[in-house]
Amino acid sequence: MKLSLLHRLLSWAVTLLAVTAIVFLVLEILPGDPALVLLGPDAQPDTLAALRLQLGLDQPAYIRYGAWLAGMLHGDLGTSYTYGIPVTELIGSRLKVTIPLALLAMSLAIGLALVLGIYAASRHNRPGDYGVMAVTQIGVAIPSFWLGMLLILFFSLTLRWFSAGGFPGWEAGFWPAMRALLLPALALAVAQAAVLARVVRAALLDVLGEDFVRTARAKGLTRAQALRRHALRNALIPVATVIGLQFAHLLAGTIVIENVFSLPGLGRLIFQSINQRDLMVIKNVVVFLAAIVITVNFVVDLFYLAIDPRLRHAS
Amino acid sequence: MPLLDVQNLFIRIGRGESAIDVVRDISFSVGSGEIVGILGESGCGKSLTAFSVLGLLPQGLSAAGQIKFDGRDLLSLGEQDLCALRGNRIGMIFQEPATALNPVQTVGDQIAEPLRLHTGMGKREARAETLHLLERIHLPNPRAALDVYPHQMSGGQRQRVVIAMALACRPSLLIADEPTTALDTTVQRQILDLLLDLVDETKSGLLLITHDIGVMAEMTERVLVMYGGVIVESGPTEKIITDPAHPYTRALLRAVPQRALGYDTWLESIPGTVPAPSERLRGCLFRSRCSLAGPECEVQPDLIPRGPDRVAACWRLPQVDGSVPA
Repeated sequence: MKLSLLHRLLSWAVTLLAVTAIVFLVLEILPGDPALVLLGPDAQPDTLAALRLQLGLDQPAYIRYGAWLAGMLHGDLGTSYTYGIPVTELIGSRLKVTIPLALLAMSLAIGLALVLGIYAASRHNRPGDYGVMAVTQIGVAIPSFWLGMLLILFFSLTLRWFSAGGFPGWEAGFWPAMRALLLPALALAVAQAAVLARVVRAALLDVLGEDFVRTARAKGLTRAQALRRHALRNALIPVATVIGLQFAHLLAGTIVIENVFSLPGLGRLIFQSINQRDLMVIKNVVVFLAAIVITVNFVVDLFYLAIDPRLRHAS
Repeated sequence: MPLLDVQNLFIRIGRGESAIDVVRDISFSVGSGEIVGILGESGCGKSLTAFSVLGLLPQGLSAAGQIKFDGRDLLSLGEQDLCALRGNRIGMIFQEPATALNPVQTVGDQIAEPLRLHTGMGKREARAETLHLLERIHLPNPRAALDVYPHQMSGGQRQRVVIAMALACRPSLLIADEPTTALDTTVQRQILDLLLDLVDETKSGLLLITHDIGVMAEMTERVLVMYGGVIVESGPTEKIITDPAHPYTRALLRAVPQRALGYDTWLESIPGTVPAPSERLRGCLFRSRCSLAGPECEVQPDLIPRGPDRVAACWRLPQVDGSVPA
């Protein structure tokens, strides 16, 4: 148990290191001089040189890479070229929007998927099952940005229940902030929920055919009790895998959705940074997003250990 | 009145015109403290018969006829009443202990589950009773076994756990579906002895489903021989072993290493296989593999008495009786 935990922790660190190397390399290979971008094409050569010196661009690549990593360990990610403030501060303020948005969307997706998946599995090959399958098929096919626009049209412009976009900030209070996140979270969640509901249904149907579910029924459990107490936990193993993968999709989805709803989140930051060629922000945000995805998968691994004793005792 | 009384049981796949009977018109009974065996090759319908008693036939299969347990017809009971009987008055022991237990739940919790469900015991009380059960099934180190997961046990230990689960609520009827088939021969012996002791101790009836004639000979008092979904012969085990009537039973006995039964002859196999339900035509189903088959076997023979408590379904019984025993 301790060994497998250590193993997973180590693989988390190694993956993260690999991500930093790849991001650094890609940005190194890409053409374009940040100093030139900042000063514009008419810049004087000596001004350019001075700026390069100031940005540390005159150093060889391996030293700049080392400095970047060292800074990262100290919590210093450098300063944004365009905003002129520390990247940590920039990311920190944007996370306050993106993390709650992603968590809310994921919770909505998981909640919806469990309800639909369990319902469909317990009514296998009956109208309820077909209904859920049809609805999820549509859900999978709807692009989240389009759904976002439909939600704005209906709930914000017609019913006027929500504002059409923007974020009041957490200073405005918990509920007003959550209210601003609800529609974008829903837009993100629907497609994920549709995929996940199908996974829940398939995993449950798989497990419901297992011998131990029959054993549970022979003990006197009703069909619903056997599903809840015996099938569900076993079915959660494949479901957790998919949730881990979906989280990465969901983070990618925030880039689009934050733009549709004009939310000042990480996705919007990366979008703007790319437009402005703010390499300092891009490389750190990309590494940061990768770190979140790797961490989520690490958590999924821990979840496997928690749920399946066979994995705990395997090592 | 017998504990379990099955009359004219049919088990059907599908509905209407295309329905196929996989078990046809079988009747038998099990009394308290009695061990009755159902013997047959795989695919003959013996496991389905067991599941129909619990009302747990796989989807798409339905049972008709009468299954009386303690005077109540199980086939007319609602799901709620059946749930109250399953695991409580009727315990089931499964063939494959490796898959019959939930891999992510401790052994203690799995055995305690029927206790908490049916007897209204609290958590602590059920755990104490579970420990007691684990002692009764002679599990080494029962206290530690409470918190162990199935994958940490051997096959024999798992089967003991499955037995403890079936016994938890002191059922009056036990159904064991090939309880030793998946186990090593050395462990088989121990599990069978345990079952015998427990039935003796609790006076519950045992319906033992097996394809193993050795197991049947040692364990059961009466036996039904099934072939292709019908009973071809039934009677006291001892009589059937020493003097089998139906050509199928005789062929089965010749296919067993005889030393276990006290004979010493060559082993024979039965040519062919059990016809699938869709291939079953009219007449005696065994005729395609029977050395005595004749034109009259095109018609299904009824079970006719053959000595006290014995019946067999074969047109050629007079010839069988007259011939030299194998």
